[in-house]
Amino acid sequence: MIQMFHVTKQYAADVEALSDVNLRVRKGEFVFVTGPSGAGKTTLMRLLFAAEGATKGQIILNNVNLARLNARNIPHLRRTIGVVFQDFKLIANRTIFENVAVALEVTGMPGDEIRKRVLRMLKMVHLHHRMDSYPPRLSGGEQQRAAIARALIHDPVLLLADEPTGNLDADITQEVMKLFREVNARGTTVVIASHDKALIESMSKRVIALEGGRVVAGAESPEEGVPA
Amino acid sequence: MNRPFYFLHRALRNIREEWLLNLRVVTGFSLMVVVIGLFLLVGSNLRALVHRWGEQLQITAYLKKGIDEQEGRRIARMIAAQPEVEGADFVSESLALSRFRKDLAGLSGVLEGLEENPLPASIEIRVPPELRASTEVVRVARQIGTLPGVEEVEYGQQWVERYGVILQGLSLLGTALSLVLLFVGWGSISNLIQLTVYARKSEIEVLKLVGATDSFVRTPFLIEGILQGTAASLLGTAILYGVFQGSLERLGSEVGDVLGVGGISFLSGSQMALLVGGSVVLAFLASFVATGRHLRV
Repeated sequence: MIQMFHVTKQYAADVEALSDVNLRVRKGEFVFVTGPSGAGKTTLMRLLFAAEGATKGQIILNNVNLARLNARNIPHLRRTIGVVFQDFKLIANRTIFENVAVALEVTGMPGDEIRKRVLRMLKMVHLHHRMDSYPPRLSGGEQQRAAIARALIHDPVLLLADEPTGNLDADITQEVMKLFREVNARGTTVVIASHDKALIESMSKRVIALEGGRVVAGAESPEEGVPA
Repeated sequence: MNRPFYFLHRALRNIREEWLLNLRVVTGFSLMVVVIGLFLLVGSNLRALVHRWGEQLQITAYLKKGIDEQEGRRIARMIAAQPEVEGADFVSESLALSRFRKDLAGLSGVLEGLEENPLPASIEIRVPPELRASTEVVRVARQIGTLPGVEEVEYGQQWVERYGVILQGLSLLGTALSLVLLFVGWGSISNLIQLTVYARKSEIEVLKLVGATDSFVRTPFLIEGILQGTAASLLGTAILYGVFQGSLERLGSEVGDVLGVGGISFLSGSQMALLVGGSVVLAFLASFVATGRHLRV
């Protein structure tokens, strides 16, 4: 699903957020990316959803070489990926229903179909009773569930989550993780960036460790060899 | 809902949700339209005034002594038939004398004691407006001077030159002012529209993250810009018309009467269309540029 070959991301001459990163994530895997603040977790995630380009190296995502992807095709790539953020990134003046529906509206899907799918998805994340509410009226956990619903509504092949539980308490964190496990069980590859060691240990999943922009552990799935 | 209606619905909803901000944009924008319209109004009336002065320009061909009225009228018809001439009127010796008496009503004694009419018959020739400020007038006057029966031709050489300079100056001033106004207008309008786009910066970011194309994000903003531009230009034109009706028209008429050039008029239909159309185009472009700044996500 994801292959990174000698990927470097430099912001200025002396600021290297990622250095010579090589890693591979297989289709259907559930992976954590961890490391201290400034290790490069967020940069890695941003490269994966093409918010930025790598300075050096190649990233292959679902058989698409991101280095060769032109700006016009980025939206189409993003429609195959779901992204969840620590700050939820919900549109404050749109209802929860509308916030989830927006991910389908951009594809030009007919309104009836959108309604059907959104209702189903909101039921899945147990938010159907709050569908007419606006995000500021919801708790942190509910807002994150809405963000997850939006990320999953178009059946992405890959779900990226950058510190998705950073603003949530322990109970709600477990609830959100349960959702991620369910999504993964249905075949979606899940990559979560988190610095929460207790959470990562509790999940017993593969962990890619970053330090100072370099991968220091977990670059490969246990059953695979070292990437080229 | 199909796409055009979807985008229109989004634009209208955005306006409704941010109505106070939109009101500020439309108000500020319409004041800009009033200022631009005022310059347009003054400029067009100034141009009309100069043209009215130009209408007073004419060529006078004095006829030789002894040319009778029939012959004089024949020469006038011949001159009027020329393509560079708008009209030619024969003025008999006696008509010239009676005009002279009328013009010098207070000095009637000057004419007493004259045994014969000293004034020659003449032909007053009007040239079309487009030739008034050009050297064509000189050429036409010289050509008329060669006609048989014509003694002398007068065409106010200095006036022709001054009129040309005034027209050229006005045209230059108009172009310079238009550029300045366009620059200032663009600055103000794009700043105002940026406010509405900036207010929805995070919404743009979310749309881009879920796979919206640039045109999907941009279209509602462009519709909003068109609506803002239309509303502001109509409101601005209405305010300008109110000011014109309330005070400018009366003031202009009084000044015009003093100068002997008549009153002033409001913007023509095409000028109003230019004001509305220009505002809409500016608002559209400002929205395009403002959204472009937030699309790199």
